[in-house]
Amino acid sequence: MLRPDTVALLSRLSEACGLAGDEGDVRAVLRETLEGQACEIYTDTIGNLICRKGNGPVRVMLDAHMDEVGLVVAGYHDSGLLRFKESGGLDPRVLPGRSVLVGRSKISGVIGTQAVHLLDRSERDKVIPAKELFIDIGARSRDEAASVTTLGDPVYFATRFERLSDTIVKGKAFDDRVGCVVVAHTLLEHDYPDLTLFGVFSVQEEVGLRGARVAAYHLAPHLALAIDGTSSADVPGVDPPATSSHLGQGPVISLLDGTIVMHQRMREQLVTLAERHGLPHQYRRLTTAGTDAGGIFLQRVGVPACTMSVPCRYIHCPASLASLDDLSDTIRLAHLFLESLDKGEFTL
Amino acid sequence: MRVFEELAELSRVGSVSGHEAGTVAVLERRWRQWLDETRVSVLGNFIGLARGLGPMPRPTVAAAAHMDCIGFMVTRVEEGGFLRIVTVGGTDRRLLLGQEVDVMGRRPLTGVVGAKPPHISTPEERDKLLPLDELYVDTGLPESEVRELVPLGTVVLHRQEVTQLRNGWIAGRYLDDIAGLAVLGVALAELRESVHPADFYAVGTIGEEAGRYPGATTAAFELRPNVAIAVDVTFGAYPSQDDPTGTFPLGSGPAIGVGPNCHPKLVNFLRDLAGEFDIPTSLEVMPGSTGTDAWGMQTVRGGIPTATLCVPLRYMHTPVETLSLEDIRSAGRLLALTVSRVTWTFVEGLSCYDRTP
Amino acid sequence: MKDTLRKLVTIYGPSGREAAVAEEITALLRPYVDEIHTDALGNVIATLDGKSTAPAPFRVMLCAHMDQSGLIVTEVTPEGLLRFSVVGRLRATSLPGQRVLGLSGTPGLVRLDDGVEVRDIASGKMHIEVGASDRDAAMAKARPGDVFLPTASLLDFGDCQSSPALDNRAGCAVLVEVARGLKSTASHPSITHFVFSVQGAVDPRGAHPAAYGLRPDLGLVVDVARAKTGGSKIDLILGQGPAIRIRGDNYIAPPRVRNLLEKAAIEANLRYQFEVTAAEETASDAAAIEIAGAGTLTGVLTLPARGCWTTSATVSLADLEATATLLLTILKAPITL
Repeated sequence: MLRPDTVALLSRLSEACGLAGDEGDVRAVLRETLEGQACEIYTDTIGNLICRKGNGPVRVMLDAHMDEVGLVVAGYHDSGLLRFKESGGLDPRVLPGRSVLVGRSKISGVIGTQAVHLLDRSERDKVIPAKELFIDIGARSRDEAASVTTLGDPVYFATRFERLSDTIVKGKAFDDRVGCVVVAHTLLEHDYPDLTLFGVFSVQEEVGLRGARVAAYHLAPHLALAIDGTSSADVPGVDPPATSSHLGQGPVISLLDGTIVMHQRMREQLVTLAERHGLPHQYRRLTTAGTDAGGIFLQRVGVPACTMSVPCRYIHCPASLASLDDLSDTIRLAHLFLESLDKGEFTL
Repeated sequence: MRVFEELAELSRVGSVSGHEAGTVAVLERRWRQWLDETRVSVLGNFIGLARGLGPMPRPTVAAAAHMDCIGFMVTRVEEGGFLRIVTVGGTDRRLLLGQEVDVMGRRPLTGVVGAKPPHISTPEERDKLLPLDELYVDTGLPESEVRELVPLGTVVLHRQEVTQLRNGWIAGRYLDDIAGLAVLGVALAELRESVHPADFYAVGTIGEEAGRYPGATTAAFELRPNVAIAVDVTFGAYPSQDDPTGTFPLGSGPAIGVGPNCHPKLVNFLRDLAGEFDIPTSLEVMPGSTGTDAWGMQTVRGGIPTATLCVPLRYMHTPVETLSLEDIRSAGRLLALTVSRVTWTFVEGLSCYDRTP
Repeated sequence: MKDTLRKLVTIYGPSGREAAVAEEITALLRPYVDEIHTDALGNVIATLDGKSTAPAPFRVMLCAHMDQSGLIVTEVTPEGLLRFSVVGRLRATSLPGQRVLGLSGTPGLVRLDDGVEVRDIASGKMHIEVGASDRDAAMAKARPGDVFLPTASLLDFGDCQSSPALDNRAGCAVLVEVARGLKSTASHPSITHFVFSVQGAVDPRGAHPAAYGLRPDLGLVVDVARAKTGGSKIDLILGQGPAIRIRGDNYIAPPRVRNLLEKAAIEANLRYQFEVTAAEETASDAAAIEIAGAGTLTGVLTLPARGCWTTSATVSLADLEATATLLLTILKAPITL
């Protein structure tokens, strides 16, 4: 079971806004949560938030990324509508008919589209290209729109975090705020005297694993574990292995993806620990896409790295679902792994 | 005039990715007067240093423009002396048929890109774009001479002289990114007349068009600049291509990039200076890769604050790329001003990352 | 060369699980090098000191990736069949009917799903048969994450040799032979590093940290490349010697390196070819080595392989030996770029 304050943290993080290159809000929430908790906290040149705990001989990087997918204000229409571009791999089909928040001051906006009554028969079945969509904040002219927004302003989905049941939660950006919760929780709850634990909240993962690359270079860890949110397509019409993972079946252990074949012994250790402690766990069936581990492992002379994820339905969409049990099990497995390193039970 | 001459000379050299030595020689000669030191890196980047004033350690600013251009390489000599070619970089094959080309063999040759003539193609064939392997280069020479003069891998370039259009606009081949080099030239000339605390590295990078930014990445690794600015070109607006979020009118000045590849404090710094000195600029919102050397430089070592400054260019990757000389001068001035204002205080401010509200 | 190749092709070593290959290569190489170790990612890095008395001797990094393409199990179906993804460059069209082996020698057979049309052949429409009638029986033999490899023992045609593992055990064999040849030479002024990199069958990866650590003056990669195989528009010919790659994916040979390779081939009286291609799968470790640290000039020699990246890949031992000779010619003399 998760503690109420962990769920509260997930709620705050889910509603916080952070796009690639603009993660300030998320960084602030995490900083506030971790300040004064026996960690040294700082940001590096690209914006990663680094929390260093302990001084032990084994340097471990525990990583989650702060950025989510969304939109950015890219221009204005004479009528006062905002033009936008996509940040990260967003599914354009989820854009029409959405409520959004624009910029630092979170101005309300909507992405509308033509009334269906006015469409040709043939148009009703087509996906609306992003180029034909605009964000409406109620401005009546280009000047008005430009006076309350700036080019480059982030645009987020106005999704509220909600608990749908005892175990299932809904919110935006579970990829990878769930990972941030795992890392934050680990830093808050545990001490590992023989480790120097670097909790890294990285930036710009969604546009190319950028922050993690930089952090791995200057921290030079002995190994790294990345915690991400991964796609669960355990829904009607999808057969395995395309389902990739299942809600409720525990942390998802990656075998490989498009950027890295996970370190075999690290991966095996995670499975061994899960089995020994009766924790549910599963393998990620997809072998495509990428996570921070792919950016980390080729830094300097190489860093053994592996990814473990919390399964989430509808990642990269405005509203994702996740199971608090999965989150709790992932937190536990991450701790067991670090503990086994700390005790010297697992070495590279 | 000097800017035009520099553009024309660099365009004539035409350095395809992997073969940038010719451009290095031109930059050496033309920029020597403004540089304290010049050298060539292991992979072939041109590195010119204009030292700042004051005791060491001095902050360093690097500005990178890529020396390489897109082009073709000969992959086979066929019966009859016809040459088959393969692309280097994002060449636009819609405009190959019938083009005149320079074949840079043991001596430069002229060729024409040909294919099966239209009167013996079927109507369906005539409507389709020919794949590259159905095109060939015809030098008009006998096969034996071609085999003698054109080794495999010979570089093939579009044949085009730089043309002056109205209003100080220029059209020519490979202005992507000779325009960027010209901007560096303008900045160097201005900096020579002024005082700047920081060391300035004017870097001509190799290989930007052909892959993973080998030039920019290794240059940034070697130089460890505190600030790195990529100077490149961006899409110039014209009727079939006028999306206001990604195209910019010629004459509107350089576009300053905004997005994850562009450090927000550096962006504000550039914008403020442009405002203070009345230099026209636009903002170019790029939510992902900027497609410039900045993408290669930003994640080197422990991370480098980067920004992009791009000159609007119509008809990118065609032999008739078109730009406004005034935009080059504006960009060069802005770059010089930026370099001259970089201090340790500014650099220290960059390492604490947060957008100002 | 044939013996070395024979030993190397049958060792289990898919991308990310190269330990067994690393062990065998280490054993083969140890007598010929001064130092050999495995780094954090599993790259084998060996060094043979040069015989130069210069204060900063020239350093060469030879590189061949030691992993091979394989089939990773992603799912066990209720009927007891295994679903998989290809890791690496093996062509899906060469898989149906292929015999495969799992880590502990578990046998399997690749088959197309029922009713798949020729034009739809893809790895997602195939499965591996392990002789199980339901999921439980299959799970006793194989689990998601296991990697199956096409049976790889050499088919010996005399000079030509065939095996699915030639990409890139052929390159590794060349490097081993170069080490053997170099050790017995009186003169080799440069320090030579032999790197057998990991995860190179997928993308240029392991070679990057290796180059970062070594910071060599010159990198030389040996890999396989597509040779003309029944009417394609490829120009490399099996048996006409190693190819000097002028252009590949994300790679353009620096003119100085190309000249160095060509001079050595001529000096050693070898047949050689040139390779100019833009094809995507031609990424080699060179792209990773070139870009490490402050940069390294890197060349690529490719071994023509008919049926490259299929289960019937075929190389010529004469081409492999010529490649080794070319490299030895370079290494036996002082190198100036």
